Amino acid sequence: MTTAGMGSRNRAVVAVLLALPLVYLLLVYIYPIGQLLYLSFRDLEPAYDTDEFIGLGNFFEIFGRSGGWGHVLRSFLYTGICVSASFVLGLAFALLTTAVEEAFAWPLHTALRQVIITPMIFIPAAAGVMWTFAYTEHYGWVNHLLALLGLSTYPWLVSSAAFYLVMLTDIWGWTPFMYLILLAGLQSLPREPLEAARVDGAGTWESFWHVVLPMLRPVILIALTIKTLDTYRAFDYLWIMTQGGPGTISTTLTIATYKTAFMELKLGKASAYGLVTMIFPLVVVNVYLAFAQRREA
Amino acid sequence: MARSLRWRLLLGLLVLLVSLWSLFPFLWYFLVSLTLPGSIPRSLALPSTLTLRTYAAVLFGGGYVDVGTKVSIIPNVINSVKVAGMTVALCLALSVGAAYVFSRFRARALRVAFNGLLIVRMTPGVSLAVPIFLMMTQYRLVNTHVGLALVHTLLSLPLAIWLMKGFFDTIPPELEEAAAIDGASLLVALRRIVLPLAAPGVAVTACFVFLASYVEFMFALILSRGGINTLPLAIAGYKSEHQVFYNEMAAASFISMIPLALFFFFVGRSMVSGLSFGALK
Repeated sequence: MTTAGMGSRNRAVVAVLLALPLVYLLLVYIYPIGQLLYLSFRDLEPAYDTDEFIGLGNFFEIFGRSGGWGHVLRSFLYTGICVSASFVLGLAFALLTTAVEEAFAWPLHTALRQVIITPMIFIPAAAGVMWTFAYTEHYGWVNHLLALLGLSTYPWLVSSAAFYLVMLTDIWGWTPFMYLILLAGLQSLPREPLEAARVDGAGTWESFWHVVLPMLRPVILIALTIKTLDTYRAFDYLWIMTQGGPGTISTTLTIATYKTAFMELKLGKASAYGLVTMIFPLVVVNVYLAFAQRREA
Repeated sequence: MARSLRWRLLLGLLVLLVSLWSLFPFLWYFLVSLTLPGSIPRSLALPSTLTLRTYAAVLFGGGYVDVGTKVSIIPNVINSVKVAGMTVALCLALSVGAAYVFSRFRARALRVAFNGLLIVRMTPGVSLAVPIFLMMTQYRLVNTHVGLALVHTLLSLPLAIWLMKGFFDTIPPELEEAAAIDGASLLVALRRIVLPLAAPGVAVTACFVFLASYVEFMFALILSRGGINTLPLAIAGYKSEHQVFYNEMAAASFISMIPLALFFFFVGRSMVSGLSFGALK
């Protein structure tokens, strides 16, 4: 059906149905974005009654004194490590599940799948406090385990390893998501190319590398795109486990934006941070759309 | 080779390792929730006594334990359900019709709008935090359930539209065309024909929207002044600078898990992948 082929009454209905989310988005999305742009050029600190135009001042401050490049770098580090690790683990778990399904007559693979997706049923805040707890010096199981091995215990989340330990939590929590997508992808692959490869004498590794992976590529691309953007804006684990610390070693752009806004109460500078944080997702989405359009054309 | 004994042993070993990685942190935490406040296992050994009294204290407040916070999380559960319920109502009201239009009509403007939703979905929430906080302050919506639901709706709206468009796409348009010939308007066709057929899909969408609001942490943190503390805030709140109530925290974590566990084990397994594909198709 096209818009030309309907009566005027239906055209009005369509307009109203579309207007509902549009008006909402104008109020709760477009207008705030406009305000974000406006505020990022201002020094707005309600606590000191300041509210004035300062041009690019906020941006100069962010990338000068505030160590903004460090935040950018840590955002990418966090995203890069978490996404690649949960992708590799997710793929490995998915392959293991299919292998188990082939090797055992009884449904071990169903149990395995439930076990693997278990981290998903925890709300992120709960997973965050659970892992915080695990790393505490006297009570956490990580240190119990180290003590059992004869090693010394340590309050890990105030150490220089803190940032990586938060990443580990993220990987633990999000691998199931990658796993489910990749497993669905694997199970929907046609069998014929694999059998053809086997007949031609390809080994397990060769047929995985040259047959399975290329066929899985669209699925992988989508999974990686979503996961990258979701990880880039991660907040819960970082805030609950380290609040960006110790010092600033786990302060990503997200955490910096939040802290500047709601702890330092510098709303203008926080808006500038917010704007900087938006750049990367915008670029990724537009690249993705360009690719998708070319594929259609 | 696929069934040789050595191959099976190797697989079994890997299954064991994977299970340890997924389950061990979880099981240890579960044990902690089964011990009394103040008594945390000091080694990896199994605690000598297991009890449900911490759960009782977390749910119903003091009286069940001697030490600890003795604060019930029931008010937080109510806050969470209220906010999530409002979010579902608002989100579905805004998105059902649009999803239907996206499913049935082709036009360049619709294509652009549909892509625009992707940008909305991918915008980091924290970027909008300051303007949204100012707006909520201005309209006195800080610390209200409606205010938080208005924001949570934004987080789920694009997904709700994509998901429901996907469900509507699976319903053949011939039925509606027949109804249109009989003089039924678009709205009647949507309500009488499409919605009843797509009801399971709409229900699944509602579940997703509900859970997305249920687990959301940052905007709840920003917009609550104590009056609308949702479950994630309550759980994180067991840890303060001075004291951490580990056992209560663990029990509350497991209680908060129930809706997600039900959803994933009964409905959601196959949906997660559909969810992401719908999102970027």
